[in-house]
Amino acid sequence: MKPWKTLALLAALSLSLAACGGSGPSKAAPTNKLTVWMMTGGPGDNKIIGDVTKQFNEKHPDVKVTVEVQQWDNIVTKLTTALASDNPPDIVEMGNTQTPLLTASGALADLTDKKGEFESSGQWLAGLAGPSTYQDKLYATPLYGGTKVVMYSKKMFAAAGIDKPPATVDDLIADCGKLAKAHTSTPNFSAFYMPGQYWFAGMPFLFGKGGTIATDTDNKWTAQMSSAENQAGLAEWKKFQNGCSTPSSIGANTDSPDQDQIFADQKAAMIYVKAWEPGAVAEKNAKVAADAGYFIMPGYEPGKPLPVIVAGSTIGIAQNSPNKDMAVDWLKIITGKAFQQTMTRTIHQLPVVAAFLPTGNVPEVLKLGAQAATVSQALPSTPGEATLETESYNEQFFSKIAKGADIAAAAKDYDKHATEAFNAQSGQR
Amino acid sequence: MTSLTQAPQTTPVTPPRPDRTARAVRGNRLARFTPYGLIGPALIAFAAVLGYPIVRLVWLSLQDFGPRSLFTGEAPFVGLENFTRVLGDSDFWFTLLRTLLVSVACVGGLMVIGFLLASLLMQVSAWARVMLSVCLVLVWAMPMVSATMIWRWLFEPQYGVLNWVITQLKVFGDFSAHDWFSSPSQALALIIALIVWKGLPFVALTLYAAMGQIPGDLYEAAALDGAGRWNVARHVTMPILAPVLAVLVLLEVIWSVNSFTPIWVLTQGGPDGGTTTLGVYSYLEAFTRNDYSGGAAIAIITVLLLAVLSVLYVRRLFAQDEAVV
Amino acid sequence: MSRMRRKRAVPNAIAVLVSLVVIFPVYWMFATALKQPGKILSATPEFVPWPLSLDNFRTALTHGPFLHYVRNSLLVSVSTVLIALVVALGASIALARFRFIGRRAFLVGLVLVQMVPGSAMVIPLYLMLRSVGAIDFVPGLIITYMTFVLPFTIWTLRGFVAGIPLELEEAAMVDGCGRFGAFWHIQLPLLAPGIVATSIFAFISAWDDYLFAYVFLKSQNNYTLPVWLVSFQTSDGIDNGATIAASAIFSLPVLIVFLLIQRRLVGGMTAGAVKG
Repeated sequence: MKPWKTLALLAALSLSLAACGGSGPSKAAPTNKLTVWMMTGGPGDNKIIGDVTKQFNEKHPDVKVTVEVQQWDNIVTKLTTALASDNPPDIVEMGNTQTPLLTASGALADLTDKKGEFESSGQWLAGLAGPSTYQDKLYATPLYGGTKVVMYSKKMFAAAGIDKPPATVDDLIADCGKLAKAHTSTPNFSAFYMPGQYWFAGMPFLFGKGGTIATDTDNKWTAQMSSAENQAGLAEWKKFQNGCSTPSSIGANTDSPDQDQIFADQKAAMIYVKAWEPGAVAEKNAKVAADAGYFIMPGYEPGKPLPVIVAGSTIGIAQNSPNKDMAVDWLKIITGKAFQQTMTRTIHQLPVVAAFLPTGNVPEVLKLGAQAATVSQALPSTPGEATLETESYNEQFFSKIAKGADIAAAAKDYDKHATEAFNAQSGQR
Repeated sequence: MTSLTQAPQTTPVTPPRPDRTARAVRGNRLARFTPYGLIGPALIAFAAVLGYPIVRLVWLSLQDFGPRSLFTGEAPFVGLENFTRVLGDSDFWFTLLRTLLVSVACVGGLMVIGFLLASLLMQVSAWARVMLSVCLVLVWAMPMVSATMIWRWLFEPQYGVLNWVITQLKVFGDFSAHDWFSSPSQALALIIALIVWKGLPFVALTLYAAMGQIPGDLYEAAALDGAGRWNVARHVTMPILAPVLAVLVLLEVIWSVNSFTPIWVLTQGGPDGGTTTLGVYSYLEAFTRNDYSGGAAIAIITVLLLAVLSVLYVRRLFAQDEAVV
Repeated sequence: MSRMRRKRAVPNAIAVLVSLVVIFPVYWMFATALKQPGKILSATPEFVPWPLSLDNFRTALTHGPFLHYVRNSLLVSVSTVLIALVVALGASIALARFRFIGRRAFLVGLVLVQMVPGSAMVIPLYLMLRSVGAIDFVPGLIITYMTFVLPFTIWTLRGFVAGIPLELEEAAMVDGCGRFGAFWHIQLPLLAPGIVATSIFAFISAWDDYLFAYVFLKSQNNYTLPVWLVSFQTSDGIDNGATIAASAIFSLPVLIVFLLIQRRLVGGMTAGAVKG
């Protein structure tokens, strides 16, 4: 550590005492370094990210690219403060629900003029392209998408006399009954282990009834949880959660206890999984994983699966970055078809354009995921969605419904809280 | 072991001698400047590391400052609007009430159990004393982040070892799949238990050290007077421990009101806001609702409330001060 | 003697029981960390980790540049302690031994400052550090921790100074020692346990902090241990074994130091912290 720097810092500190306002960071000169922040679970967390840098270095041979992997906990605060400082990371990945908050705060560089330069940018997945746009300007590009499918134990299905995946929600609940009957001796058995906080699984029940989360008129959001469709969907969610999953799951999330462990321990015949979870199950119990099959969450009518939420990440360039042009080149590579296909094959996330999905030799879980993503609904594209997410508000709401809260009253509370959050724009009040 | 004997409540032990001290200090001309020289570095450090942030905090609470302001540097002055909004929100009052309940439970639990453990330490053999104090010291040393993670782990549904233990007791029925965190009252119970467990060593060992200061002949005299156990505790132990207890209570109240890590890691204030206390509420407002000003306002309200609570303590401190210096 | 022993049998038994209950979570942390990764979660708990396995520790230690984090954590925590002590010692003597204008205001200020919730200071401190270019600068954290450690350190040391009998000091001055000599030869040695105790407090506050380190440090090489500790926990699944092993590693140094000075701690330190 350089002592002079500490000394200079202390001196500067005492000098700065009087200045209360504090100005924004100054513009720095371009450097020959590119710092990229990527999130766990995405392509940045895998060695394939080296491909992007390698290709990038063909055009910019002198530039050193550093990819640093960040954790999701409290990431919004960290991103905001980091992007607002001097020497911010040049490129940052963020969750699609967090994107509107960052685009609205002015943290990210305007990419509207460059949109045409990104491969097939006109066909980006709606659930990712929507949040990347704010007031008709593009501030980020999609990075990858993710949906969830049902993972089930073929052996347990066969033992319970079920010969094909359920075609409707009612079939599913009936199958749960059969599975439960076949496993009465297993303590805390769940036919379909469904943590009550798993709102990504819950919301589709509302979408299937025709519900939406919120409507937007003249930039004024109104949460719609109290609509007849949503209330009917909530009742279905409760029926499904209570009918298929052990009571101890009502307040749980997917991590605590770890639902993959429960499946690996054969305490559940089905779980609702993200693309990487089969791998996690295999690590814990290879035999169980090998026996597993997959299907898309069925809908209320045969052939009409429940519309899903497309989750995923977007990636943008810091407004304060001195290296914006270089950063755009890097983004073009990571969102391009070649890398997207590598990514899809390696980490099993969905590519940003449906047509990028590689043909042949794709794992079943991914093929089904891509199919499920074709029927999807976007989340409200407002900074308030990030608020609800950081509060775990949706998680707690769905858990509350599963626990037996009065649906009409709970939905009314939801609308009040969510409407307020969706319309809050701090700093612009 | 000498530091406790001076408080005025311990009159039988050390009588106060204000006159002599005052003369000794005033007698020296140089001495008039010595205290300023001694406290100078601290004042400078305070101005540097605390002055700006505190002033900024107050200023923040009077602005409308959100993430956007970090980039633009613009934040309109809104006067007391943040305060009126916070105080007008029923959530705040529920949170305040909950904070009071949690603090009373934590501080009460800490004091009662701490006192009992300290008394226990006074009565046991040497080996048992070493064993118990080593255990307490280890709990004390465990970082809060680790402690909270372990706590969550111990009570996890299906795999939590304490759920298993409770089930084996066969008194409360099957807890193996019990989910503590889905009910606010049970989650709060776990949070309180965690805070008490983690805070216990400090309280118990401090009280033990204080009890060690009480001269044995006081007890003998009391015994000669035929005082029972209760009377000894009330008329001998308590008055001597009073100043220590007062400080402990103040510190623990501050710590439990502002307690953040245990709640944040265990429940994030949920379910449904049911375990949010003031420390968490301020954080939620600032960093999940992204209203930094609102968070600052809540923090300032918290400080004001705590200050009111501690007025009694500060007055007592000054009264004592007269006697000691 | 045997009457004495019998009289102590019941308290001793209670002490054993209490010790077991109190220490269990600490034990469980180490026991779990030493299990084989696949055996960490089981419906019927295994109370003794057997066969022992260091796999979890291995995973944890190979997760990022561990030694770097240790270095950063030590640098920040030790500097915080040293600076706080130097600054606080003078102030605590002034407060305990002298009367001067502004003394009471200072005392009240010390109490008030300790009441500010830590998380509320994130933005003000961020703005301050940013204006001097100290974001993502490890020593910048020292300033952050000083805001919490300094008031408490002054407060605690003041109690210790007040606890040293004045007669000793006066006697030394009469012997021709002078005020400074009296301080050096008489007060400082007597203050030693208090200084050790206060340092530990200060050390833990800095060592334990996650929030500020997480928000203020950007580059991975600048992280401190708590940031590393939480990095095993992601929404994409948790490596439970590695997390617990990391907790154990993180706790270990503090546990050892506490054990070494255990006697001092129980003997004198606590008293200083709460001196009225």
